[in-house]
Amino acid sequence: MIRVTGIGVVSALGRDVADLGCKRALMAATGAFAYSEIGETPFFQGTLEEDEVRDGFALGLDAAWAALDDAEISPAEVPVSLVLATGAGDTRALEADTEAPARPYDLARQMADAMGLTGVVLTVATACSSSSYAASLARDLLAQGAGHVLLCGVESKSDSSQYTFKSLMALDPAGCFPFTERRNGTVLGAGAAALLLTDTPQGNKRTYARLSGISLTCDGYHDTAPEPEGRAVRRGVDQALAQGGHQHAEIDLFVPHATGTKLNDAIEARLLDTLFGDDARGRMVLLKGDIGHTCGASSAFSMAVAAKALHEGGARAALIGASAFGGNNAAVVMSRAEGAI
Amino acid sequence: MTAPVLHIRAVSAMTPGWMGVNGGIPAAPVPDMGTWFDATAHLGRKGHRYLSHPTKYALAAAQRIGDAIRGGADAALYLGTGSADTEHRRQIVRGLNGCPDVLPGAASAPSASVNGPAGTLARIFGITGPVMTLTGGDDSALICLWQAATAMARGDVGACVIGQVEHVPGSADGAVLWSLDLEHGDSAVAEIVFDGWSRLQGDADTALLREIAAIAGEVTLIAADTPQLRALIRPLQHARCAFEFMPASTLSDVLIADMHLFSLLTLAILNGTGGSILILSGNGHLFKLSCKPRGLNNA
Repeated sequence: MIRVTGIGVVSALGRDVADLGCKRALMAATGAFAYSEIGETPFFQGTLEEDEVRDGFALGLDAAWAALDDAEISPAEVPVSLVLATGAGDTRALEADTEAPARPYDLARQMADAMGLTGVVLTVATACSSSSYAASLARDLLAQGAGHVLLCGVESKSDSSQYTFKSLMALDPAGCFPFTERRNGTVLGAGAAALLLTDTPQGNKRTYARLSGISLTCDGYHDTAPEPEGRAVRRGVDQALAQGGHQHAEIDLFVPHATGTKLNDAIEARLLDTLFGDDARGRMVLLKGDIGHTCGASSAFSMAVAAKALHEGGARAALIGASAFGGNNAAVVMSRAEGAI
Repeated sequence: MTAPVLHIRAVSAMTPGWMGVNGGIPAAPVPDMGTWFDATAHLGRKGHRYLSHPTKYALAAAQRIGDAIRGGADAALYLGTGSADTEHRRQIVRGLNGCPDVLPGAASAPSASVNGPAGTLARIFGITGPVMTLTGGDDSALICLWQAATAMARGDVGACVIGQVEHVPGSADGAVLWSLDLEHGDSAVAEIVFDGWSRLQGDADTALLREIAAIAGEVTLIAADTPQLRALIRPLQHARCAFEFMPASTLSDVLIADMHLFSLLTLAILNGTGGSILILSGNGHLFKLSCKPRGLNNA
């Protein structure tokens, strides 16, 4: 049984996972987002300063340490492996000087060295679905005896990413309104979310949730646009549910990818309606309207919120969706850890 | 979960110093690094205008072994890279910093994503199982091999492509791909078992020697060629464990950096290396493989 025993987040809403559920008051106090210099496109900055959202290393470290502290795990005492998920890595060097050598995807090793982690270190970059793919990798590491795996999704503010989304007309200057009629694109955000996963007995330590099913599928259809019928997405949901031995009726909470773009939201909405009934949309958490689209980190935020909600009661199981450029899809099922503290 | 026997169905290299299927290794590196790849010659006249260099390399390498690549829901693709998006992102930054003429349009947006090459290959070959891009060092393709072995052992995947693609002109440029499946066949390049991987704990030298000593018989160690490592292993060359060290100089000089380890492993297998293989990466990971070469169809 894979358990989530620690959670750490850094987002536009701050450094407490509980903040992710109380957006409105904070937004009123801080303002929702700053406007990027790139064609007056929005960026979801919230409480974070400009130098903070540009620093993927610091964002990742903050979230990773918070998850370890939350789980009461010291990497000096037990081996901890790190699976880093990111869409663009650390682009600061690459974007500051266009000629100097840059290794944007070296973040994981830098973080592991800084934290004294002694387990294996790897990085997955399947664009906006990266963190769910990291969950699959973490599961496989635990199966080979890793003991404790830190899953950390990190995305910093990147001019080249902002420009790319703008060039695809995927940004909405008015904001991010997933699953609403007024949706017309997304708003990028920055942050990091980390979950400490383990399959070792926890004794009297807290378990937030179980990770009970993961499926990875690819549309094989288009390099950036999703396959309109959502066939691979549906296959992934069915596989993830079957892995965990869950019936559709057991899913009480949905955290869809929900970017606020026309096509992605339509595909997900139709899938939820078809598989889970009309009331599924009343049990959704739509994070990107709160913290922006954190790309490679986004489904780590989704898993963090789902784990917290499952621990606090009410829901039996949660379905977390993720999709990305390249046609990458992922479905993750998390469930309440019965008898957990 | 028992480690499955993976059959390397075909190997394709598309690099400045090495273009070939299941072999074809040249004696000398290509002199002009800037113009070594002719997209029209390898991909035809149409359909690749907006693809990035890494995507073109990967596609050209894949098409040469297209008969050995399977699509479908039980097919997978695991691709390692640390640089597939670098050129495109730099072009954007140049454009934003005062050269608007070079700003790329929406048609080339997939090039900004490091998983662009994998996405394009998945689309063209109809691969709809797991398609994963691993980054973060010189061992990304070896972690791909671990993922392939794991997914196949679990029964999720019946056939897959693994490999590495890079675009760092003058350092590491090109793609090396393997087609893998679980079925035995006469055309297989080799049989390989992924025996595990870990990060060397404590004193790395001592840990490496301990791992080598734990293996009975001959061991091939693949690692970056450093004086320290040569000094460390010298005594072992006369010990019970026969031992072959494979320095970088056995390879064309252009195949270095992040493609180094995977290229060395590929060449070792193509050259008939069998038995236990240990691979030490720059991240301090030690990969353990067992390999049984089969007959090659050099092309």
